[in-house]
Amino acid sequence: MEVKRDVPLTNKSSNVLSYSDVSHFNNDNPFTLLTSQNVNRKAKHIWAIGGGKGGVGKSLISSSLAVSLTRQRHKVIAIDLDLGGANLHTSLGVDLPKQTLNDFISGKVPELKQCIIGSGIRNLDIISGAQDSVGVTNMTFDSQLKLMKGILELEADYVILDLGAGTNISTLDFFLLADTGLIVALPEPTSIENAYRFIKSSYYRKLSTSPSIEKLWPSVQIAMDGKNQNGIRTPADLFKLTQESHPELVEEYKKVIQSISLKLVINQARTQSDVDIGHSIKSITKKYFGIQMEYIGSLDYDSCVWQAIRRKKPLFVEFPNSQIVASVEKISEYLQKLRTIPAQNLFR
Amino acid sequence: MFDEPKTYYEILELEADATEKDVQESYLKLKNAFSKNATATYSIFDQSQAESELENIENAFQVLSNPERRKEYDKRHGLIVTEKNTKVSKNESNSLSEDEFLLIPPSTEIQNSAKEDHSDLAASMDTDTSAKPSSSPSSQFDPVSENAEGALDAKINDEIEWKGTFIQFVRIEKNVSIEELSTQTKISKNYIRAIEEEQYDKLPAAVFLRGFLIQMCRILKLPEEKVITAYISRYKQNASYKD
Repeated sequence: MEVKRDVPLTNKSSNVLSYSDVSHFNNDNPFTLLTSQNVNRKAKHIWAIGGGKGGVGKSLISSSLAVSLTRQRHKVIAIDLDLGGANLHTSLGVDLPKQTLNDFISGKVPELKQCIIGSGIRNLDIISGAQDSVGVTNMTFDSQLKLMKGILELEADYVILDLGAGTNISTLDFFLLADTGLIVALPEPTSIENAYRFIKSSYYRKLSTSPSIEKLWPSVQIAMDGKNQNGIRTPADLFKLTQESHPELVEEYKKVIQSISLKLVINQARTQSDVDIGHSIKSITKKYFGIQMEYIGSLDYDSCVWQAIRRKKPLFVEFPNSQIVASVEKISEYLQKLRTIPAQNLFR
Repeated sequence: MFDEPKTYYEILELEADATEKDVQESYLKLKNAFSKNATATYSIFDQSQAESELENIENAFQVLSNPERRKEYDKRHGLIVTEKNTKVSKNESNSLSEDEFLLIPPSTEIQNSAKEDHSDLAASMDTDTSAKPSSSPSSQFDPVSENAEGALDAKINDEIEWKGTFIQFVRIEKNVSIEELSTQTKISKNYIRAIEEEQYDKLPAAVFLRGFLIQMCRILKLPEEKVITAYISRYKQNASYKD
Protein backbone atom coordinates (compact mmCIF):
# COMPACT_ATOMS: atom_id res chain seq x y z
CA MET A 1 0.00 0.00 0.00
CA GLU A 2 1.46 3.34 -0.89
CA VAL A 3 1.89 5.96 1.75
CA LYS A 4 -0.58 8.79 1.47
CA ARG A 5 1.55 11.89 1.04
CA ASP A 6 -1.19 14.28 2.04
CA VAL A 7 -1.10 13.21 5.68
CA PRO A 8 0.46 16.18 7.45
CA LEU A 9 3.05 15.64 10.14
CA THR A 10 3.17 18.04 13.04
CA ASN A 11 6.86 17.67 13.63
CA LYS A 12 9.03 15.04 12.05
CA SER A 13 11.31 14.67 15.02
CA SER A 14 8.51 14.10 17.45
CA ASN A 15 6.92 11.45 15.28
CA VAL A 16 3.49 12.67 16.19
CA LEU A 17 1.15 12.60 13.27
CA SER A 18 -1.97 14.64 13.14
CA TYR A 19 -5.35 13.18 12.55
CA SER A 20 -6.41 14.31 9.15
CA ASP A 21 -9.06 13.25 6.73
CA VAL A 22 -9.41 9.48 6.99
CA SER A 23 -12.62 9.05 5.09
CA HIS A 24 -10.80 7.15 2.39
CA PHE A 25 -10.04 4.48 4.94
CA ASN A 26 -13.70 4.01 5.60
CA ASN A 27 -14.42 3.58 1.93
CA ASP A 28 -12.17 0.53 1.84
CA ASN A 29 -13.33 -0.89 5.12
CA PRO A 30 -15.63 -3.83 4.52
CA PHE A 31 -16.12 -4.38 8.25
CA THR A 32 -17.68 -1.01 8.89
CA LEU A 33 -19.69 -1.20 5.69
CA LEU A 34 -21.10 -4.56 6.70
CA THR A 35 -22.31 -3.23 10.02
CA SER A 36 -24.60 -0.88 8.16
CA GLN A 37 -25.96 -3.63 5.95
CA ASN A 38 -28.21 -5.63 8.25
CA VAL A 39 -26.28 -8.84 8.08
CA ASN A 40 -28.42 -11.76 9.17
CA ARG A 41 -25.66 -13.96 10.53
CA LYS A 42 -26.50 -17.63 10.49
CA ALA A 43 -23.03 -19.18 10.35
CA LYS A 44 -22.39 -20.32 13.89
CA HIS A 45 -18.62 -20.67 13.72
CA ILE A 46 -16.28 -19.50 11.01
CA TRP A 47 -12.76 -20.91 10.79
CA ALA A 48 -10.26 -19.53 8.32
CA ILE A 49 -7.14 -21.40 7.29
CA GLY A 50 -4.32 -19.25 5.95
CA GLY A 51 -0.58 -18.97 6.17
CA GLY A 52 0.75 -16.99 3.32
CA LYS A 53 2.57 -19.70 1.47
CA GLY A 54 1.28 -21.96 -1.27
CA GLY A 55 1.62 -25.67 -0.84
CA VAL A 56 1.84 -25.80 2.94
CA GLY A 57 -1.27 -27.90 3.23
CA LYS A 58 -4.07 -25.38 3.73
CA SER A 59 -6.53 -27.22 1.49
CA LEU A 60 -5.58 -30.52 2.99
CA ILE A 61 -6.09 -29.25 6.51
CA SER A 62 -9.27 -27.35 5.61
CA SER A 63 -10.85 -30.41 4.03
CA SER A 64 -9.70 -32.71 6.82
CA LEU A 65 -11.00 -30.41 9.54
CA ALA A 66 -14.27 -30.09 7.67
CA VAL A 67 -14.68 -33.86 7.48
CA SER A 68 -13.69 -34.25 11.11
CA LEU A 69 -16.42 -31.82 12.11
CA THR A 70 -19.06 -33.78 10.26
CA ARG A 71 -18.12 -36.81 12.37
CA GLN A 72 -19.39 -34.84 15.34
CA ARG A 73 -22.69 -34.43 13.52
CA HIS A 74 -22.09 -30.79 12.69
CA LYS A 75 -23.39 -29.22 9.49
CA VAL A 76 -20.34 -27.92 7.65
CA ILE A 77 -19.79 -25.79 4.58
CA ALA A 78 -16.23 -25.50 3.28
CA ILE A 79 -15.43 -22.64 0.91
CA ASP A 80 -12.48 -22.45 -1.41
CA LEU A 81 -11.35 -18.82 -1.45
CA ASP A 82 -8.16 -19.48 -3.34
CA LEU A 83 -9.18 -17.93 -6.61
CA GLY A 84 -6.78 -19.00 -9.29
CA GLY A 85 -5.42 -21.77 -7.09
CA ALA A 86 -8.54 -23.63 -6.10
CA ASN A 87 -7.73 -27.07 -4.71
CA LEU A 88 -10.38 -27.76 -2.14
CA HIS A 89 -12.58 -29.73 -4.49
CA THR A 90 -9.61 -31.89 -5.49
CA SER A 91 -8.75 -32.65 -1.86
CA LEU A 92 -12.28 -33.89 -1.42
CA GLY A 93 -12.53 -35.75 -4.68
CA VAL A 94 -15.29 -33.56 -6.10
CA ASP A 95 -14.88 -33.52 -9.85
CA LEU A 96 -15.54 -30.38 -11.83
CA PRO A 97 -18.32 -28.80 -9.84
CA LYS A 98 -21.14 -27.25 -11.85
CA GLN A 99 -21.77 -24.15 -9.82
CA THR A 100 -18.78 -22.35 -8.37
CA LEU A 101 -17.78 -19.23 -6.51
CA ASN A 102 -16.99 -17.49 -9.74
CA ASP A 103 -20.60 -17.65 -10.75
CA PHE A 104 -21.45 -15.68 -7.65
CA ILE A 105 -18.62 -13.21 -8.00
CA SER A 106 -19.38 -12.57 -11.64
CA GLY A 107 -23.01 -11.94 -10.77
CA LYS A 108 -24.30 -14.85 -12.81
CA VAL A 109 -25.77 -16.32 -9.66
CA PRO A 110 -27.31 -13.79 -7.25
CA GLU A 111 -27.00 -15.70 -3.98
CA LEU A 112 -23.99 -17.45 -2.50
CA LYS A 113 -26.02 -20.37 -1.27
CA GLN A 114 -26.85 -21.23 -4.84
CA CYS A 115 -23.21 -22.23 -5.25
CA ILE A 116 -23.34 -24.84 -2.53
CA ILE A 117 -22.79 -28.35 -3.80
CA GLY A 118 -22.50 -31.70 -2.08
CA SER A 119 -19.12 -33.22 -1.37
CA GLY A 120 -20.13 -36.83 -1.26
CA ILE A 121 -19.62 -36.77 2.49
CA ARG A 122 -22.61 -36.56 4.78
CA ASN A 123 -23.17 -33.13 6.34
CA LEU A 124 -20.40 -31.56 4.32
CA ASP A 125 -21.15 -29.17 1.48
CA ILE A 126 -18.67 -27.10 -0.38
CA ILE A 127 -18.43 -23.97 -2.45
CA SER A 128 -15.71 -24.59 -4.95
CA GLY A 129 -13.39 -22.11 -6.58
CA ALA A 130 -12.89 -24.18 -9.68
CA GLN A 131 -13.75 -23.16 -13.22
CA ASP A 132 -12.26 -19.75 -12.57
CA SER A 133 -12.13 -17.56 -15.62
CA VAL A 134 -8.60 -17.00 -16.68
CA GLY A 135 -7.30 -13.80 -15.12
CA VAL A 136 -9.81 -13.52 -12.32
CA THR A 137 -7.49 -13.78 -9.37
CA ASN A 138 -8.41 -10.56 -7.62
CA MET A 139 -11.98 -9.83 -6.81
CA THR A 140 -13.30 -6.28 -6.70
CA PHE A 141 -14.10 -4.59 -3.43
CA ASP A 142 -17.81 -4.88 -4.07
CA SER A 143 -17.56 -8.58 -4.82
CA GLN A 144 -15.56 -9.10 -1.68
CA LEU A 145 -18.17 -7.28 0.36
CA LYS A 146 -20.97 -9.29 -1.20
CA LEU A 147 -19.06 -12.47 -0.52
CA MET A 148 -18.35 -11.60 3.10
CA LYS A 149 -22.03 -10.95 3.70
CA GLY A 150 -22.91 -14.16 1.90
CA ILE A 151 -20.57 -16.18 4.10
CA LEU A 152 -21.96 -14.72 7.30
CA GLU A 153 -25.46 -15.60 6.18
CA LEU A 154 -24.79 -19.24 5.32
CA GLU A 155 -26.78 -21.67 7.37
CA ALA A 156 -24.22 -23.95 8.94
CA ASP A 157 -22.70 -24.94 12.25
CA TYR A 158 -19.22 -24.48 10.84
CA VAL A 159 -18.04 -22.56 7.82
CA ILE A 160 -14.48 -23.40 6.84
CA LEU A 161 -12.63 -20.86 4.70
CA ASP A 162 -9.72 -22.26 2.73
CA LEU A 163 -7.77 -19.10 1.95
CA GLY A 164 -5.37 -18.52 -0.86
CA ALA A 165 -1.66 -18.02 -0.59
CA GLY A 166 -0.25 -14.54 -0.30
CA THR A 167 -1.33 -11.51 1.65
CA ASN A 168 -3.66 -9.64 -0.64
CA ILE A 169 -6.34 -7.63 1.07
CA SER A 170 -9.23 -9.99 0.32
CA THR A 171 -7.34 -12.87 1.89
CA LEU A 172 -6.58 -10.81 4.97
CA ASP A 173 -10.16 -9.65 5.30
CA PHE A 174 -11.53 -13.17 5.13
CA PHE A 175 -8.99 -14.23 7.71
CA LEU A 176 -10.05 -11.42 10.01
CA LEU A 177 -13.73 -12.17 9.39
CA ALA A 178 -13.37 -15.59 10.97
CA ASP A 179 -13.87 -16.39 14.66
CA THR A 180 -10.82 -18.61 14.59
CA GLY A 181 -7.84 -18.07 12.32
CA LEU A 182 -5.44 -20.91 11.65
CA ILE A 183 -1.97 -20.33 10.31
CA VAL A 184 -0.38 -23.34 8.67
CA ALA A 185 3.38 -23.39 8.23
CA LEU A 186 6.01 -25.90 7.32
CA PRO A 187 9.07 -26.08 9.57
CA GLU A 188 11.26 -24.38 6.99
CA PRO A 189 12.54 -20.84 6.56
CA THR A 190 10.53 -19.94 3.44
CA SER A 191 7.25 -21.00 4.94
CA ILE A 192 8.00 -19.38 8.29
CA GLU A 193 8.99 -16.16 6.59
CA ASN A 194 5.66 -16.14 4.77
CA ALA A 195 3.80 -16.90 7.96
CA TYR A 196 5.33 -13.85 9.64
CA ARG A 197 4.52 -11.81 6.59
CA PHE A 198 0.94 -12.97 6.83
CA ILE A 199 0.74 -12.14 10.54
CA LYS A 200 2.27 -8.74 9.94
CA SER A 201 -0.18 -7.93 7.17
CA SER A 202 -3.11 -9.12 9.27
CA TYR A 203 -1.88 -7.00 12.15
CA TYR A 204 -1.84 -3.78 10.20
CA ARG A 205 -5.02 -4.61 8.31
CA LYS A 206 -6.83 -5.24 11.60
CA LEU A 207 -5.70 -1.88 12.93
CA SER A 208 -6.69 -0.09 9.73
CA THR A 209 -10.19 -1.52 9.79
CA SER A 210 -10.99 -0.82 13.43
CA PRO A 211 -12.89 2.45 13.69
CA SER A 212 -12.36 2.64 17.45
CA ILE A 213 -8.76 3.67 16.77
CA GLU A 214 -9.49 5.81 13.74
CA LYS A 215 -7.12 8.53 14.95
CA LEU A 216 -4.21 6.12 14.54
CA TRP A 217 -4.93 5.30 10.92
CA PRO A 218 -2.48 7.79 9.46
CA SER A 219 0.29 6.30 11.60
CA VAL A 220 -0.74 2.76 10.70
CA GLN A 221 -0.59 3.73 7.06
CA ILE A 222 2.95 4.99 7.50
CA ALA A 223 3.94 1.90 9.47
CA MET A 224 2.79 -0.32 6.63
CA ASP A 225 5.39 1.26 4.41
CA GLY A 226 8.41 -0.75 5.44
CA LYS A 227 10.74 1.95 4.14
CA ASN A 228 9.06 4.88 5.87
CA GLN A 229 11.28 7.68 7.10
CA ASN A 230 9.46 8.15 10.39
CA GLY A 231 11.27 5.43 12.25
CA ILE A 232 8.21 3.22 12.57
CA ARG A 233 9.93 -0.03 11.82
CA THR A 234 8.07 -2.52 13.94
CA PRO A 235 4.70 -3.01 15.60
CA ALA A 236 6.45 -2.07 18.84
CA ASP A 237 7.39 1.31 17.34
CA LEU A 238 3.80 1.91 16.34
CA PHE A 239 2.58 0.96 19.79
CA LYS A 240 5.09 3.27 21.46
CA LEU A 241 4.09 6.08 19.15
CA THR A 242 0.50 5.51 20.21
CA GLN A 243 1.50 5.68 23.86
CA GLU A 244 3.18 8.96 23.13
CA SER A 245 0.68 10.63 20.83
CA HIS A 246 -2.65 9.08 21.81
CA PRO A 247 -2.29 7.53 25.24
CA GLU A 248 -6.06 7.43 25.60
CA LEU A 249 -6.20 4.91 22.73
CA VAL A 250 -3.63 2.50 24.14
CA GLU A 251 -6.14 0.23 25.84
CA GLU A 252 -8.31 0.09 22.74
CA TYR A 253 -5.24 -0.63 20.59
CA LYS A 254 -4.41 -3.59 22.80
CA LYS A 255 -8.00 -4.82 22.71
CA VAL A 256 -8.07 -4.66 18.93
CA ILE A 257 -4.82 -6.58 18.56
CA GLN A 258 -5.77 -9.14 21.17
CA SER A 259 -8.98 -9.83 19.31
CA ILE A 260 -7.02 -11.24 16.38
CA SER A 261 -7.40 -14.98 16.63
CA LEU A 262 -4.21 -16.80 15.70
CA LYS A 263 -3.66 -20.52 16.01
CA LEU A 264 -0.55 -22.12 14.60
CA VAL A 265 -0.30 -25.55 13.04
CA ILE A 266 3.04 -26.91 11.88
CA ASN A 267 2.61 -29.28 8.99
CA GLN A 268 4.94 -31.95 7.62
CA ALA A 269 6.99 -32.25 10.77
CA ARG A 270 9.72 -34.87 10.48
CA THR A 271 11.76 -34.38 13.62
CA GLN A 272 11.26 -33.28 17.18
CA SER A 273 12.87 -29.97 16.38
CA ASP A 274 10.32 -29.48 13.61
CA VAL A 275 7.62 -29.94 16.19
CA ASP A 276 9.41 -27.64 18.64
CA ILE A 277 9.68 -24.84 16.13
CA GLY A 278 6.02 -24.10 16.69
CA HIS A 279 6.83 -22.98 20.25
CA SER A 280 9.60 -20.76 18.96
CA ILE A 281 7.36 -19.12 16.41
CA LYS A 282 4.77 -18.55 19.09
CA SER A 283 7.31 -16.85 21.38
CA ILE A 284 8.68 -14.72 18.61
CA THR A 285 5.22 -13.66 17.53
CA LYS A 286 4.56 -12.58 21.11
CA LYS A 287 7.82 -10.70 21.27
CA TYR A 288 7.61 -8.98 17.91
CA PHE A 289 3.87 -8.41 17.48
CA GLY A 290 2.62 -8.52 21.04
CA ILE A 291 0.08 -11.11 19.92
CA GLN A 292 -0.57 -14.25 21.90
CA MET A 293 -0.67 -16.87 19.17
CA GLU A 294 -1.50 -20.40 20.26
CA TYR A 295 0.50 -23.31 18.98
CA ILE A 296 -2.22 -25.92 18.74
CA GLY A 297 -0.33 -28.81 17.22
CA SER A 298 1.78 -30.32 14.53
CA LEU A 299 1.08 -32.82 11.80
CA ASP A 300 3.75 -35.34 10.96
CA TYR A 301 4.89 -35.78 7.44
CA ASP A 302 2.86 -38.75 6.40
CA SER A 303 3.01 -40.66 3.16
CA CYS A 304 -0.73 -41.22 3.43
CA VAL A 305 -1.15 -37.63 2.46
CA TRP A 306 0.45 -37.70 -0.93
CA GLN A 307 -1.23 -40.96 -1.65
CA ALA A 308 -4.65 -39.54 -0.86
CA ILE A 309 -3.90 -36.46 -2.93
CA ARG A 310 -2.84 -38.54 -5.91
CA ARG A 311 -6.04 -40.51 -5.65
CA LYS A 312 -8.00 -37.31 -5.20
CA LYS A 313 -9.75 -38.80 -2.23
CA PRO A 314 -10.23 -37.26 1.21
CA LEU A 315 -7.60 -38.32 3.71
CA PHE A 316 -10.21 -39.30 6.25
CA VAL A 317 -11.91 -41.61 3.79
CA GLU A 318 -8.78 -43.25 2.39
CA PHE A 319 -6.72 -43.62 5.57
CA PRO A 320 -9.12 -43.35 8.48
CA ASN A 321 -6.77 -45.10 10.90
CA SER A 322 -3.65 -43.19 10.05
CA GLN A 323 -1.64 -41.19 12.54
CA ILE A 324 -2.28 -38.02 10.66
CA VAL A 325 -6.03 -38.41 10.79
CA ALA A 326 -5.75 -38.93 14.53
CA SER A 327 -3.71 -35.71 14.81
CA VAL A 328 -6.23 -33.74 12.81
CA GLU A 329 -9.03 -35.07 14.99
CA LYS A 330 -7.19 -33.87 18.06
CA ILE A 331 -6.77 -30.41 16.59
CA SER A 332 -10.40 -30.34 15.54
CA GLU A 333 -11.58 -31.34 19.01
CA TYR A 334 -9.43 -28.68 20.59
CA LEU A 335 -10.71 -25.96 18.29
CA GLN A 336 -14.30 -26.94 18.89
CA LYS A 337 -13.84 -26.50 22.60
CA LEU A 338 -12.40 -23.02 22.19
CA ARG A 339 -14.41 -20.12 23.43
CA THR A 340 -13.84 -17.11 21.30
CA ILE A 341 -13.73 -13.73 22.97
CA PRO A 342 -16.71 -11.49 22.20
CA ALA A 343 -14.62 -9.13 20.12
CA GLN A 344 -13.87 -11.95 17.71
CA ASN A 345 -17.51 -12.77 17.06
CA LEU A 346 -18.32 -10.37 14.32
CA PHE A 347 -21.88 -9.53 13.38
CA ARG A 348 -23.60 -11.68 15.93
CA MET B 1 2.43 -5.64 25.15
CA PHE B 2 5.71 -3.85 24.51
CA ASP B 3 5.52 -2.23 27.89
CA GLU B 4 8.95 -1.99 29.43
CA PRO B 5 10.39 -3.09 31.68
CA LYS B 6 9.26 -6.68 31.45
CA THR B 7 9.25 -8.82 34.55
CA TYR B 8 11.37 -11.94 34.53
CA TYR B 9 8.18 -13.97 34.52
CA GLU B 10 7.01 -12.26 31.37
CA ILE B 11 10.36 -12.77 29.70
CA LEU B 12 10.17 -16.51 30.36
CA GLU B 13 6.45 -16.59 29.54
CA LEU B 14 5.63 -17.88 33.00
CA GLU B 15 2.93 -17.30 35.57
CA ALA B 16 4.00 -16.12 39.00
CA ASP B 17 3.31 -19.56 40.45
CA ALA B 18 5.43 -21.44 37.93
CA THR B 19 7.19 -24.53 39.27
CA GLU B 20 10.91 -25.10 38.93
CA LYS B 21 10.17 -27.52 36.13
CA ASP B 22 8.11 -24.88 34.32
CA VAL B 23 10.99 -22.44 34.65
CA GLN B 24 13.45 -24.95 33.27
CA GLU B 25 11.24 -25.91 30.35
CA SER B 26 10.42 -22.38 29.38
CA TYR B 27 14.06 -21.39 29.58
CA LEU B 28 15.12 -24.14 27.24
CA LYS B 29 12.30 -23.45 24.79
CA LEU B 30 13.09 -19.76 24.63
CA LYS B 31 16.83 -20.26 24.41
CA ASN B 32 16.10 -22.45 21.44
CA ALA B 33 13.79 -19.92 19.85
CA PHE B 34 16.38 -17.15 19.90
CA SER B 35 19.47 -19.24 19.37
CA LYS B 36 22.00 -18.35 16.71
CA ASN B 37 20.64 -19.08 13.24
CA ALA B 38 17.37 -20.35 14.63
CA THR B 39 14.88 -20.82 11.83
CA ALA B 40 12.11 -19.23 13.83
CA THR B 41 13.80 -15.83 14.02
CA TYR B 42 14.41 -15.73 10.31
CA SER B 43 13.10 -12.55 8.68
CA ILE B 44 11.89 -11.09 11.98
CA PHE B 45 14.82 -10.60 14.31
CA ASP B 46 18.40 -10.06 13.31
CA GLN B 47 21.37 -11.57 15.11
CA SER B 48 21.90 -8.70 17.54
CA GLN B 49 18.24 -8.49 18.50
CA ALA B 50 18.18 -12.22 19.09
CA GLU B 51 21.29 -11.96 21.23
CA SER B 52 19.84 -9.16 23.25
CA GLU B 53 16.75 -11.21 23.92
CA LEU B 54 18.91 -14.21 24.85
CA GLU B 55 20.58 -12.01 27.42
CA ASN B 56 17.22 -11.11 28.92
CA ILE B 57 16.25 -14.76 28.98
CA GLU B 58 19.53 -15.68 30.65
CA ASN B 59 19.14 -12.99 33.30
CA ALA B 60 15.58 -14.00 33.99
CA PHE B 61 16.54 -17.64 34.34
CA GLN B 62 19.44 -16.92 36.67
CA VAL B 63 17.07 -15.33 39.11
CA LEU B 64 13.97 -17.44 38.73
CA SER B 65 15.79 -20.76 38.82
CA ASN B 66 17.40 -19.90 42.12
CA PRO B 67 14.78 -20.21 44.88
CA GLU B 68 16.34 -17.60 47.13
CA ARG B 69 16.91 -15.03 44.42
CA ARG B 70 13.44 -15.68 43.13
CA LYS B 71 11.90 -15.04 46.52
CA GLU B 72 13.86 -11.83 46.79
CA TYR B 73 12.79 -10.79 43.31
CA ASP B 74 9.16 -11.48 44.11
CA LYS B 75 9.40 -9.46 47.27
CA ARG B 76 11.06 -6.61 45.46
CA HIS B 77 8.23 -6.42 43.06
CA GLY B 78 5.89 -6.29 45.99
CA LEU B 79 7.91 -3.29 47.17
CA ILE B 80 7.21 -1.35 44.00
CA VAL B 81 3.55 -1.68 44.81
CA THR B 82 3.90 -0.14 48.28
CA GLU B 83 5.47 2.99 46.85
CA LYS B 84 2.27 3.66 44.99
CA ASN B 85 0.19 2.98 48.10
CA THR B 86 -1.90 0.29 46.44
CA LYS B 87 -2.19 -3.30 47.46
CA VAL B 88 -1.50 -5.48 44.48
CA SER B 89 -0.89 -9.19 44.42
CA LYS B 90 2.11 -10.74 42.72
CA ASN B 91 -0.02 -11.83 39.81
CA GLU B 92 -0.90 -8.27 38.96
CA SER B 93 2.71 -7.31 38.61
CA ASN B 94 2.19 -7.60 34.86
CA SER B 95 -0.24 -4.74 34.68
CA LEU B 96 1.91 -2.85 37.11
CA SER B 97 4.69 -2.37 34.61
CA GLU B 98 2.29 -0.74 32.16
CA ASP B 99 1.09 1.70 34.78
CA GLU B 100 4.64 2.50 35.70
CA PHE B 101 5.36 3.24 32.15
CA LEU B 102 2.47 5.60 31.55
CA LEU B 103 2.07 7.47 34.79
CA ILE B 104 4.30 10.01 36.34
CA PRO B 105 4.94 8.29 39.67
CA PRO B 106 3.36 9.97 42.64
CA SER B 107 5.74 11.54 45.10
CA THR B 108 7.18 9.20 47.65
CA GLU B 109 8.77 9.90 50.95
CA ILE B 110 12.20 9.91 49.43
CA GLN B 111 11.28 12.44 46.81
CA ASN B 112 9.50 14.69 49.30
CA SER B 113 12.45 14.96 51.60
CA ALA B 114 14.59 15.57 48.58
CA LYS B 115 12.49 18.51 47.52
CA GLU B 116 12.99 20.19 50.86
CA ASP B 117 16.73 19.92 50.62
CA HIS B 118 16.72 20.56 46.94
CA SER B 119 18.56 23.82 46.99
CA ASP B 120 21.33 22.51 49.17
CA LEU B 121 21.72 19.41 47.13
CA ALA B 122 21.63 21.35 43.91
CA ALA B 123 24.52 23.42 45.11
CA SER B 124 26.57 20.42 46.08
CA MET B 125 25.61 18.65 42.91
CA ASP B 126 26.89 21.45 40.78
CA THR B 127 30.20 21.22 42.52
CA ASP B 128 30.40 17.53 41.90
CA THR B 129 29.24 17.53 38.34
CA SER B 130 31.60 20.27 37.35
CA ALA B 131 34.38 17.73 37.71
CA LYS B 132 35.93 17.02 34.35
CA PRO B 133 35.29 13.49 33.08
CA SER B 134 38.91 12.65 32.83
CA SER B 135 39.84 13.88 36.25
CA SER B 136 39.61 11.82 39.37
CA PRO B 137 36.42 11.90 41.39
CA SER B 138 35.82 14.45 44.13
CA SER B 139 38.31 14.69 46.95
CA GLN B 140 36.01 12.71 49.17
CA PHE B 141 37.06 9.52 47.48
CA ASP B 142 40.41 7.95 47.08
CA PRO B 143 40.00 5.78 44.00
CA VAL B 144 42.68 3.48 45.22
CA SER B 145 41.09 2.91 48.58
CA GLU B 146 38.99 -0.16 49.22
CA ASN B 147 36.03 2.09 49.94
CA ALA B 148 35.91 3.47 46.43
CA GLU B 149 33.16 1.16 45.28
CA GLY B 150 31.16 1.62 48.44
CA ALA B 151 31.57 5.35 48.10
CA LEU B 152 30.31 5.31 44.55
CA ASP B 153 27.32 3.28 45.61
CA ALA B 154 26.62 5.81 48.34
CA LYS B 155 26.74 8.60 45.82
CA ILE B 156 24.38 6.72 43.54
CA ASN B 157 22.07 6.11 46.44
CA ASP B 158 22.01 9.76 47.41
CA GLU B 159 21.61 11.07 43.92
CA ILE B 160 18.38 12.89 43.20
CA GLU B 161 18.70 14.92 40.03
CA TRP B 162 20.30 12.35 37.74
CA LYS B 163 21.71 14.89 35.35
CA GLY B 164 23.46 13.59 32.31
CA THR B 165 26.77 14.65 33.75
CA PHE B 166 26.23 12.43 36.78
CA ILE B 167 25.32 9.49 34.62
CA GLN B 168 28.51 10.11 32.70
CA PHE B 169 30.44 10.32 35.94
CA VAL B 170 29.14 6.93 37.04
CA ARG B 171 29.89 5.41 33.68
CA ILE B 172 33.46 6.57 33.82
CA GLU B 173 33.86 5.49 37.41
CA LYS B 174 32.81 2.04 36.37
CA ASN B 175 35.30 2.06 33.53
CA VAL B 176 32.73 1.72 30.83
CA SER B 177 33.48 3.53 27.61
CA ILE B 178 30.72 4.97 25.47
CA GLU B 179 31.67 2.39 22.88
CA GLU B 180 31.17 -0.43 25.30
CA LEU B 181 27.95 0.95 26.67
CA SER B 182 26.70 1.34 23.14
CA THR B 183 27.50 -2.26 22.31
CA GLN B 184 25.88 -3.61 25.43
CA THR B 185 22.73 -1.52 25.28
CA LYS B 186 22.40 -1.36 21.49
CA ILE B 187 21.93 2.39 21.82
CA SER B 188 23.86 4.50 19.36
CA LYS B 189 26.83 6.43 20.72
CA ASN B 190 25.30 9.69 19.58
CA TYR B 191 22.26 9.13 21.73
CA ILE B 192 24.39 8.18 24.72
CA ARG B 193 26.38 11.36 24.29
CA ALA B 194 23.23 13.39 23.87
CA ILE B 195 21.82 11.88 27.06
CA GLU B 196 24.98 12.60 29.02
CA GLU B 197 25.22 16.10 27.64
CA GLU B 198 21.49 16.75 27.97
CA GLN B 199 21.19 17.87 24.37
CA TYR B 200 17.45 17.53 24.20
CA ASP B 201 17.10 18.39 20.56
CA LYS B 202 19.26 15.42 19.70
CA LEU B 203 17.19 12.99 21.73
CA PRO B 204 14.24 10.98 20.44
CA ALA B 205 10.69 11.11 21.82
CA ALA B 206 10.25 10.40 25.51
CA VAL B 207 9.00 6.88 24.92
CA PHE B 208 12.24 5.91 23.23
CA LEU B 209 14.35 7.90 25.63
CA ARG B 210 12.78 6.03 28.48
CA GLY B 211 13.77 2.76 26.90
CA PHE B 212 17.34 3.98 26.46
CA LEU B 213 17.62 5.11 30.04
CA ILE B 214 16.35 1.76 31.23
CA GLN B 215 19.00 -0.03 29.22
CA MET B 216 21.74 2.25 30.48
CA CYS B 217 20.60 1.82 34.07
CA ARG B 218 20.69 -1.93 33.69
CA ILE B 219 24.26 -1.98 32.46
CA LEU B 220 25.49 0.67 34.87
CA LYS B 221 23.46 -0.81 37.74
CA LEU B 222 21.55 2.37 38.50
CA PRO B 223 18.11 2.59 40.11
CA GLU B 224 15.87 2.68 37.05
CA GLU B 225 12.79 4.31 38.52
CA LYS B 226 14.69 7.14 40.17
CA VAL B 227 16.80 7.91 37.15
CA ILE B 228 13.92 7.86 34.71
CA THR B 229 11.57 9.91 36.83
CA ALA B 230 14.14 12.63 37.36
CA TYR B 231 15.62 12.66 33.87
CA ILE B 232 12.36 12.46 31.96
CA SER B 233 10.60 15.14 33.99
CA ARG B 234 13.51 17.48 33.39
CA TYR B 235 13.52 16.51 29.73
CA LYS B 236 9.82 17.22 29.39
CA GLN B 237 10.17 20.62 31.01
CA ASN B 238 13.01 21.58 28.78
CA ALA B 239 12.24 20.00 25.46
CA SER B 240 11.12 22.92 23.33
CA TYR B 241 9.16 21.01 20.76
CA LYS B 242 6.79 19.27 23.13
CA ASP B 243 3.29 20.67 22.62
